[in-house]
Amino acid sequence: MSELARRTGWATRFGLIMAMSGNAVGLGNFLRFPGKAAPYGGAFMIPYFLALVLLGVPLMWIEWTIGRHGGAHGHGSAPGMFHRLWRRPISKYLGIFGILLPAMVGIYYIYIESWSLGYAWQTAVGSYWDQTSVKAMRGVFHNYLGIGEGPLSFSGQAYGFFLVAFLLNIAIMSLSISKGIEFVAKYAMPALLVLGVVLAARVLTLPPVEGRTIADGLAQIWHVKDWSVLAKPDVWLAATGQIFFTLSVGLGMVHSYASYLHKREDVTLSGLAACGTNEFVEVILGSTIAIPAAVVFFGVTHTQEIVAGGTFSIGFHALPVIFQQMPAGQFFGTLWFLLLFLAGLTSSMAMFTPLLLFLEDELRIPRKKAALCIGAGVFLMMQPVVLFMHHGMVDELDYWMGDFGLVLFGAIEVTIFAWIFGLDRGWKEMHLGADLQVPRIFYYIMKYVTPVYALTLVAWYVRRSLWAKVSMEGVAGADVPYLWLARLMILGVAAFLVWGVWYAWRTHPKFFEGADATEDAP
Amino acid sequence: MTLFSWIYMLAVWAAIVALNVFCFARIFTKRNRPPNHGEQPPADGEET
Repeated sequence: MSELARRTGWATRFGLIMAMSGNAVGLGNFLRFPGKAAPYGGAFMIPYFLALVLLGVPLMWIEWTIGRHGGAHGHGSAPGMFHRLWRRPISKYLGIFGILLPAMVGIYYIYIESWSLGYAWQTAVGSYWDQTSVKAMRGVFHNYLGIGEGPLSFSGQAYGFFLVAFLLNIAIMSLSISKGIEFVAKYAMPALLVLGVVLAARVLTLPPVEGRTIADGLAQIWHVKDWSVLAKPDVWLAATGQIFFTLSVGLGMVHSYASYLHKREDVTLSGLAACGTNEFVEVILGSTIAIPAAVVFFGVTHTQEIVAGGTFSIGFHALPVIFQQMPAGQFFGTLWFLLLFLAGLTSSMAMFTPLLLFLEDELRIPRKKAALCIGAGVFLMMQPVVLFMHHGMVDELDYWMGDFGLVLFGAIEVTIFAWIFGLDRGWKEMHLGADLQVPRIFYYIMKYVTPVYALTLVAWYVRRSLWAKVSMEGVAGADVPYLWLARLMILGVAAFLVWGVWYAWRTHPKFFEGADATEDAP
Repeated sequence: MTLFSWIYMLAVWAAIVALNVFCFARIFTKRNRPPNHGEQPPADGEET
């Protein structure tokens, strides 16, 4: 089959695992995780690890398996993969989520990633070095983004770094998987790990400040202040959402990477290794840097206020102040923002891969041309996100695509895999060429627990926040048109993908091959 | 940090490091690769 012959695949297994780990390791490991864990203390880790075992790891194995299975049929994105699992017209349309979600997340994620690059530069040259309070640094941050009195959130510096990050992502994506994503991941991930360990070691050896020690900082994450928080649904929702977000499951990117695997290439051990690497970065490094350093320099109460200020407060407002008070702070500050940039880059370069492979595999557009089309389309859609950021466009896209959407897609894929394709066949498919025999308890977890857990989560999202989001409850009148613009962008891309699936399934020869049509029919 | 908090944190860290050592040691040595590449699912009611 010509589609299969042109797939070059991963050059090395190390490169594959670094790319998969890099896909999972992102800004959320260093910024989102500490912010989610700190308010609940050590009790947070209980639902976090339960969600990891019952939802995260099973979904990771399922996505690797679906991806490899689809790739063997020449599909690099979820519509074709779902079609091979479930031969009903709706399956390929459900697969659209696996392209839409990562692409729309990528539209704002690259901009956020570029802030890290900009701040690495600003720290290296010491441009904010006289701003020594969190409040002052908040002003620096708003100034950097160009958020002020004017109608647009624009600054030349932020836009310049955004262009650098955007072009870098498109350039990596346009190359073959081994020369682009794998090459970058092979160097970026080890570099990220080294930077993370160096920074964690620096924080752990900080001397006490006004009697506050590093142990006081670690206690914010690890000391169980109150077990009764486990009775609150909020902590379970926060922990489970974090697992989806941190492992990048429920997005469609793992599927696309796994589609480059050969039919009998291991997925169980490699999938577990990717989860393990991500947890090392998140739980060990992510919990050791930002919050403990903030507690030592600002105290517990002020740190809690900073954390309550949002995901970026700790990383972009508080830590720059700390670096200014730390010996060799300019050096460590630059490392911190480079670390964030590498974490962002290794994730964002995967985000447009499902769309690229959809154009390439299903619509038969050559790779370079497809990358150019994506680059142009994405660049256009990024403009309102950048220029009207202060009107909440990023938050709107993040809720629908990076929050509710991935939980919904996770629930859909586990249901299709475990109950429609059938877990007996799925289990067998998963273990083709396996280097690790998955313990049999996971057969039952994947069949019963993971689908129920994921569907319960969807129901909880619907009950708790969906209507308030749909009706824009509490949104300022001036922001409403911009949130509608964000929704129109989502609907526009979704409409294109619906057309693309409809067109591909009517015209692509591979969907009319008799052998393919019956081989895997459930 | 109480003694329990230290033990809790170090136990979690140790578990994560052990998981990584287990995975990467197997990946780099490629030991214990099962000859049967088509593991069967457990039969209904089978003990896990």
